[in-house]
Amino acid sequence: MKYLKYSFIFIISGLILLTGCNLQEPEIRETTLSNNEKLLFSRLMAVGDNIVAGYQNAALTEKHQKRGFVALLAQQGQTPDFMQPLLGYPGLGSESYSGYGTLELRYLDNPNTPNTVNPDPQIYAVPFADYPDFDPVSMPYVSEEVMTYPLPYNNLGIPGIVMEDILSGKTKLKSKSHSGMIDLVLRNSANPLGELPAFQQAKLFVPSLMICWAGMYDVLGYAQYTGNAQIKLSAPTSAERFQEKYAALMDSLLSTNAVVVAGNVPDILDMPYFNLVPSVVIDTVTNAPYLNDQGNPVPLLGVEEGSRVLFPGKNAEKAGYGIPEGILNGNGQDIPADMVLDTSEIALVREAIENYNAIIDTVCSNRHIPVVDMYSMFKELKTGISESGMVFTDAYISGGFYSLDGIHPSDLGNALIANEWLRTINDSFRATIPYVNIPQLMSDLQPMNTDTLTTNQ
Amino acid sequence: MLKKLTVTALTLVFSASMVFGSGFSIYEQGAKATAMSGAFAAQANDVTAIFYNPAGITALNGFQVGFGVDIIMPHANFTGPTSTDPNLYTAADDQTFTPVTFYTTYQINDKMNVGFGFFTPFGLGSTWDDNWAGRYLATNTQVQTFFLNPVFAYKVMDNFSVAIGFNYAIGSVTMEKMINFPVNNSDVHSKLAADGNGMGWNIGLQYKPTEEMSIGFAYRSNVMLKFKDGDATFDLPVDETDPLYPIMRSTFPNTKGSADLELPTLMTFGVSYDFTDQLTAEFDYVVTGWESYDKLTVTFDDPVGGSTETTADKNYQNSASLRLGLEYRLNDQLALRGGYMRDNHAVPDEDVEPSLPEGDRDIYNIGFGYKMGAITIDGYYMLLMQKDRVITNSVHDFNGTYKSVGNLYGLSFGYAF
Repeated sequence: MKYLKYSFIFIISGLILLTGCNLQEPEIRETTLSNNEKLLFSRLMAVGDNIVAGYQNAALTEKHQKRGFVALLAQQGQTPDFMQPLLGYPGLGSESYSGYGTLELRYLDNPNTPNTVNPDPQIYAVPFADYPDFDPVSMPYVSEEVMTYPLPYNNLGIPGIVMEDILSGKTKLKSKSHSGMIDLVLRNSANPLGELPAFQQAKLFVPSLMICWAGMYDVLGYAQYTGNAQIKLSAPTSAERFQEKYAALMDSLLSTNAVVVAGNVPDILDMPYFNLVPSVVIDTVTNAPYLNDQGNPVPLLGVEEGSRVLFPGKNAEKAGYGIPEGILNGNGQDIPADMVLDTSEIALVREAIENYNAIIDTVCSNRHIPVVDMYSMFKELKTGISESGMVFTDAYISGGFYSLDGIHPSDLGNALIANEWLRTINDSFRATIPYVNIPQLMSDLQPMNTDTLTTNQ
Repeated sequence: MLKKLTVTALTLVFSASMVFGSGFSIYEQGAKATAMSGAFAAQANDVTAIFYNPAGITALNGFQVGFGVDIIMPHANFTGPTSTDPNLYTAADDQTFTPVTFYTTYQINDKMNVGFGFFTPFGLGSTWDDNWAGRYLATNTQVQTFFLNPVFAYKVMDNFSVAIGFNYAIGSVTMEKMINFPVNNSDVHSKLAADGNGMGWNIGLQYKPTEEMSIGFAYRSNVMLKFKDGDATFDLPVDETDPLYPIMRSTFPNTKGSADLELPTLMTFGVSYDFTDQLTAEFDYVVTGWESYDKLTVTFDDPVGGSTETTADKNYQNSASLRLGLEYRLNDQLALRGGYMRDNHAVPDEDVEPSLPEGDRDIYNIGFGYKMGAITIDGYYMLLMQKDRVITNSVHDFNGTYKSVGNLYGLSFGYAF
């Protein structure tokens, strides 16, 4: 019976074995919005140019508008009834004048050119002809409901406009930039209240939070190749004009009594579009620099040292431009001048961006408007922005940040941008709006989850 | 010709690191010792001394065997990453590990004993959901090591013994995580599974200056585990018909991977004292030489992501634990034991990642020993409470709070022939 004496020890050990200790699970498993935060985002409006609009892969189309950074801000801030001028697939953009919409990646490495040393991606623009239901002229929206939405769109970002058009651009014709997108976003031809520029439409809506990221197209519209699609700016908006109009814009936005948050201008010259095409002849067989008999690369015709060949210059080169006669398919003619930025043009672009950002800083700090430092964020891509073990860089296609047009961010790029805006908003207004969950988004965007192009609701 | 995409955005580096113990060491190799929080190098008076301090086996008579099993049940969770949501909560899958030990000793004569031990001093693992926020860092990581350790002990004087041993180690690792292929934003499931082996040595000293007091010292050398020709497999989310399949497959070929993993040294210094006939206390200081684990390089037979070699910085630091154990012998049959230990982290803050959510730990133990003639039964319960590890400067940009707690149970059976 003496064993009984000790049996309690075994009973106790048995009990411990059964229960053990566990971690207390938190009551809060993710951040939720406070009422004040919901209020801040309740009437979110955005004005600006391309990236604000959700332009990506050289077009505006619902597939990516829904994942633009403004849409993501609205999602994180739970903006009710957030509405954008959603366009059907394949959307409208820089290729639309010749009958194409958004860009798609067909091959990362073109199988028709099997002997290339470097992979040569094959990107194609989706023809309207493949989507007979899409009417690019009279009904490009995804639905009647979107087209006839009775209120202004929450996102009044318009691709291809200069900053002052936010204040005064009413229609394509009655604007500085003459962007064809103005009419799609502002819908002034059918506006019972008369023709109202973006700012006026936003003001009518009595916004709680105004997102304003403008100025990039004031210089991009000058630097990029526009072909026949858009009107090329003959020069970047001058610093004097920018100063005057930007101050007026900020005063106007503040007059709505909304909380205003502004963004500055990234260095567009870092974008793949301005860096992808080398200034030497590329061998079409190997997709590597062509070497002459002395083993040296051959400079492209019409490209001085220090100049940049724009992305479309690649197609011109394929057609023989820039290549001396006798080499490959060379036609002995210069790469067209509007596909090259020479050193003086580059200097002009640099100066404009510096001026704009100085003006944005001064104007905004005088008015206590927080500025999201987009310039620094885009610069950071050179070394890489890391996030949960992933690194995003400015490399074309493989870097993850830029879309196929080499200028506008991809879905993931937009998510990184949204988080940068949220960081500034949280810091400036002592808010704790949750950031876009990038790993979750990457999971949602897996090809098997997004295979269908008809993600249209 | 197959072209490979060199993808800078891919972090291909496999992390080889695991759960629990400072770094991933397991000091729980005997129920009696563990009930006293592992403060046992000075006493070293049962067959598990082969692990804790082999010099102690000179006190064991005849032929003895011991068999033990541990049940290790860690819980871990992560709140973050703060870049996404400082309150986002993810719990690691609960796992149960049951390492076993086997020891035997034989007394050749008054002076000499030999022994043999089988134990698993490093290992364990962590499993997170395949879709969780840290999946590009780690999803599933499992490591096992088995040590075969023959020892020879010699009683130099009545109160002074020495021992030397040889270690043959077998290891197996499985490391899984996701790699993002940014071109079509698809997650590639990567898995590296490899077996390896290595050798080392160990020594022990035991000195009893007085009847009541015992001093122990034990040292285990590094063991370089060489993992050769492991299988690196990459499951692509697209099939052969996908236009991206060829370049994805050539970027992520199923291939062989090799790596060297240097296990750390283990140095123990302990003092025990019999306060009464019934009460013994011991204090041990254990240093794990994690410094050896500063980086992990994996080489592939075929380039993966455009490169045949990837290196991950580990930067582990040496870590020390303080162990205090008590044994109270109620009578000849029954002994009650308890212990407390403070174990300090081996991984610097910035390098902590989800495959090894380790940190400083307070560890409490209770246990018992019961003798029935030639049979001995020892048992313990261990509660491991890890201090919340708040990371704000992660090199992986994966900041947040790791929490962890562990319940360990163990039983040992001994038989003296």
